[in-house]
Amino acid sequence: MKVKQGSFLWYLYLDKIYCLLSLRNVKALMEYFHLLDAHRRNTLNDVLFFHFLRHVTNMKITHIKMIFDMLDWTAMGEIGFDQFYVLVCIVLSHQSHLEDQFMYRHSRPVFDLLDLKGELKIDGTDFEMYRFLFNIKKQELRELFHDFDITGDRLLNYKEFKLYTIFCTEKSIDRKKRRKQREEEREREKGKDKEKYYQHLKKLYSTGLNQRSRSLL
Amino acid sequence: MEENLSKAVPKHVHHHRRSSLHGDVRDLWTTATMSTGNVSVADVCEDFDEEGRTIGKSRRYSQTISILENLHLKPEEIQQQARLELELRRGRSLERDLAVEEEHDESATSLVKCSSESSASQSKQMPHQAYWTEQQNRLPLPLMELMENEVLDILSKALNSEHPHPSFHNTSWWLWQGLGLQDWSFRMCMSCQIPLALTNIPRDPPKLKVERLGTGRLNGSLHLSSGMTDSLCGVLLYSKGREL
Repeated sequence: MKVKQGSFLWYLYLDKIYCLLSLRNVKALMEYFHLLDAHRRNTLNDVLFFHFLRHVTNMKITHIKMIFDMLDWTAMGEIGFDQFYVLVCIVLSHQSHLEDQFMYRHSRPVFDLLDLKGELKIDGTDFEMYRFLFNIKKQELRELFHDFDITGDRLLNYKEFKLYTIFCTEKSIDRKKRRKQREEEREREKGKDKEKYYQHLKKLYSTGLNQRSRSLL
Repeated sequence: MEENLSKAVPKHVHHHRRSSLHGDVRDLWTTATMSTGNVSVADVCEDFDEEGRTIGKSRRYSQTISILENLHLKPEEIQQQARLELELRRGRSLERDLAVEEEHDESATSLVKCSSESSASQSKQMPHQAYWTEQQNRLPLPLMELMENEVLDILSKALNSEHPHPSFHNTSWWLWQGLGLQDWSFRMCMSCQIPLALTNIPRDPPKLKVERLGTGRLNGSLHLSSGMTDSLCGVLLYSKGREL
C-alpha cells in the first residue's frame, strides 16, 4: 500500500511523535474532501471512495472494498470526514513507516476499527484480513496471538492489544537504533578504507618520484 | 498517551464562505499598516519573550488557541477586529505625539463597545491580523491547483465507470428501481416491505437508503437530477448492484 508520488496525499505528513496531521494539513484535507463530495452531503459514497483510493494509492480492489466496509461502521454506504481523516492517517503512517507508533498512539480507535463484530475483542481472522493496513506479517500476527493472548480465548481484548502496541513500539525503537549503529559502522569502515587507499596512492607517488630522481642522477 | 483521533475534526468551511473570506483578507491587507518599529519581540515571535529567551509551550499553546478561535469567527467579525486594531494603533501613535488622545480613545472605546470583550483581547494578542488570517485560511496556490486537478480526474473516472441502464429513458424510473411505486407521496421498499420516509418534493426522486447485501456487496443508489449540470461536480452518479 503506497501513496502515488505527486498526488495530493503525497504532500501531507504526519507528526512523528503523535501521528496526527497538523492544522494546516487538516484544513487542506477538508478542502479536498469537500471537492470530492460531489453530492454536497458531507460524505463520500462507495463509488467516489473507490476511485479516490485507486487514483491515489496502489491498493487492490479487494482491499479497497474491505477498507470501506471497515470504515462504514454505520452501514449507510457512505463515510463522513471523520472516517476519511482516520483513513488518511493510516495511509500516511504506512507511507512514513510509522505503523507501530500510530497503533501505539491511537490504540483505542484502531482497536475499535478492527473489532468488526463489536464484541470488544479482536478476532484472529479479522486481524488477518486487515493486517495489510499496518504492515504486519503473518508470522508476526501468529506470534502476537501466541504471546499476548493472556486469557487464552484466541481473542485480543483491549488491554492485550495495548500491550502488543507498547511492545511493538519498543521493538521498532530498538530496530532503528541497531540500524543507526550499523550505518555508523559502515561509514567508519568506508572512512578507513578511504584512508588506506589514499596512503597507498601516496606511497606509489613517492616511490615513483624517487625512481625518477635516481634515473636523472 | 492516547489521542482522540476520531474527534479531531474542526468545523466545515463552505466554499462560498471561503471565497468571501479571501475578499476580506485582501481588504485587510490594503487597509493594514505595518508599524513594525514599535512592535516588541514577544508580540512578533511567539517562541521568544521580551529578552529573547525561548518560552514554554503553554504560551505558544495559548496563542495557537487564539489563532484557532479566530478561525471560527465570521468574516465580518475578523474585519471588525482588524479595524479595531488599526484604530488602537492609531490611538497609540497619537498618544506619543500628544495630540487628540481623548478623541481616539473615545472612538476606540466606542468600537470596543460594539465588538465583544474577547475580540478586543484577541486583537491585542494578535498583531499583524491580516497576515495571520491569511496564513490560517488560505491554502498555498500550487497545492490548490493540484488538489482541484486530482479531484477532477477522480470524479471523471468515477463518472465514466458508471454506465446508465440502457432502458433508463424509456421505462419509468420507479419501476426500474424495482419499487413499483406510482405515487410520489408514498414509498415502500418492495424487497423488505418497509415503508420509507415521506417526501414533499414531487419532482425530484427521493434518495434511497443504501442496503448492505448479505454477500458483502454494496448496493449504492443515488438519485439523478432532472437536468444535468455543466460542471463535473454537479453531475450525480448512479450505480446499481455492481461489484467493484
